[in-house]
Amino acid sequence: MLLASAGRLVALPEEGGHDLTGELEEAVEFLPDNPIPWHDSLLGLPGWMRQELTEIRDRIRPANQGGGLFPPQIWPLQPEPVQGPLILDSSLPGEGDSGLALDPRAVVPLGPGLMGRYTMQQPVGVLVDPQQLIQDRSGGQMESLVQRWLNDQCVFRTTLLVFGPGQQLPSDFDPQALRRQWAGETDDSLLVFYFYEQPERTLAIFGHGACATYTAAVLRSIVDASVVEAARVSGPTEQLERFCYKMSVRLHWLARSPPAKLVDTGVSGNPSRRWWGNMAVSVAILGALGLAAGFGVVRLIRSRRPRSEGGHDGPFLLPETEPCPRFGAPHSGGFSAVITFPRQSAP
Amino acid sequence: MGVSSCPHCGYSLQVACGLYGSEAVVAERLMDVDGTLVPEQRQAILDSLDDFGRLFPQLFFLVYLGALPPPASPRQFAFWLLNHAAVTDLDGLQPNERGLLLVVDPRGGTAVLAGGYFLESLMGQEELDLVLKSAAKDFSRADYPAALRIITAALGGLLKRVAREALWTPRRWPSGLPETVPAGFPPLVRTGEVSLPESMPEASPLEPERPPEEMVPSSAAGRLGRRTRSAVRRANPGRR
Repeated sequence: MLLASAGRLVALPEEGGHDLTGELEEAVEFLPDNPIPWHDSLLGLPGWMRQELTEIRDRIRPANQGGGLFPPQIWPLQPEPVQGPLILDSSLPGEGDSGLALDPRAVVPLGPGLMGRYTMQQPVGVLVDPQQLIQDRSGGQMESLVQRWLNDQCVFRTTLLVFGPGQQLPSDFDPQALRRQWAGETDDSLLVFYFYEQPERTLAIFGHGACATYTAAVLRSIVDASVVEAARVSGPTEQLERFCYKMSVRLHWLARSPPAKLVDTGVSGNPSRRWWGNMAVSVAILGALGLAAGFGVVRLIRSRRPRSEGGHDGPFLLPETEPCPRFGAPHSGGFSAVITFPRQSAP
Repeated sequence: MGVSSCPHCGYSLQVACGLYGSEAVVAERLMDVDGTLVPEQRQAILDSLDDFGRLFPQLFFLVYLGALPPPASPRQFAFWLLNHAAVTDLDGLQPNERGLLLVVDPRGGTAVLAGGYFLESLMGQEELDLVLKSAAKDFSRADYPAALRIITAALGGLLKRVAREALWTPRRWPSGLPETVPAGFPPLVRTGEVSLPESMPEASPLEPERPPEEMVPSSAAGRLGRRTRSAVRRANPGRR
């Protein structure tokens, strides 16, 4: 395996083989995604133009096109690059990958030509699928679903761009700029970059209105939940359909729920004011709890008070008991008290 | 089932019935048999009885004011009258075990406060003694309306406490409180012909004795009946 390091080709010893250090051998493999950085080169190789580098990365231009220091016997001409979407392995590189993956089966950035087919002009419909990736059902059907679910039944004006599996947006691509380009300053616009067969790579760009009203966590949770729901089914078209449906439901409820506004309370920056704000909230909560407890105690006492129709002066009900007659008396058993007082003279 | 007579002395209601009669007696809430009260006092007493009845609709209060029929023991007479009184001017029908009877003999200088079985289940003997003693001064001054106000107030305080205790400590009163004021009791003592004995037999040796000097003339029992009958006729002309 040959690695480019500081402009010199260094042959690493093969595993279990003999040592080739210091011996320049014939190149057996070329990695077009990892060309020799010209500014690191000690050989003073001619510099690559950025466009040429991009084309080489996209495998549009052979790496040694335009001649070079090495003849084809040493540096063989690379085959013609494959045009169109690359069906790659599902293993994904990390986020922010520039596309210069060592593994040729990894995600490959979209070339400017293909990307231009997406972004060259503002789409007429709500579904952008220039590669005709949606196979199971016609694009019109899917577009009508997207129109109905993600536009008619929610407050957002959604445009869905479908990319192939393994394709990656160019590193210099600014999706927010594309949203502004298409929707202007419209607050309810939503741009969804959906990767066919890979819903987990979905990217959603919300407008300023949604970003100002809802927290990023809320918006991210909506997309994540929709992606999870989409991953529950197997077919790629079914995944897209389920993603659209679930996301429309969540966006619908998001619009109906009270927004978690990012209100500047004016106390965020000042710890003292924040402390007083927290204290005020605590006091208010404790006060409310105290009032509720007091109300409950009053209700309990009132419920325990002898039932009366007129408040304190109302009739009092006494507990009923079973009489036990004695002395053969049906109503009174002689329960009585006697006092004497000075006799009154007869009138 | 209750006992029909005292296991020690054999006393029973039959002994009192032998003295005063076994028939039901038509009575009013206020029986001023000697005409002691002036109309204002009479009205004041009736107002106190009304207030007490409003506060405790399960109870009713009777007042007997006058000389007792001989051979009268005030306690025995109250015992007999509460078991035989057919009260005519109550708003609702109440059995006599829910009644209270205050018997005041001004000439004899005796006052008796008797209660039925219902009151007996709510308070004790000592409490009842205290209630009656609280009005001793007013009895001495012959201010019977004031005495009755004090008695009803003291009784009301005790009974309100009982009502509250029944709510807070239901175990003490397993039967609990009624949801509404009990009504529609059968007229236990109002059925049948009401008659009063014209003459009283001799007192039984088993009854509680009272001093001979406190005895009242033997004609009092007859006066009670006649006065009560005439009062009932005046209040209810259509009723015998």
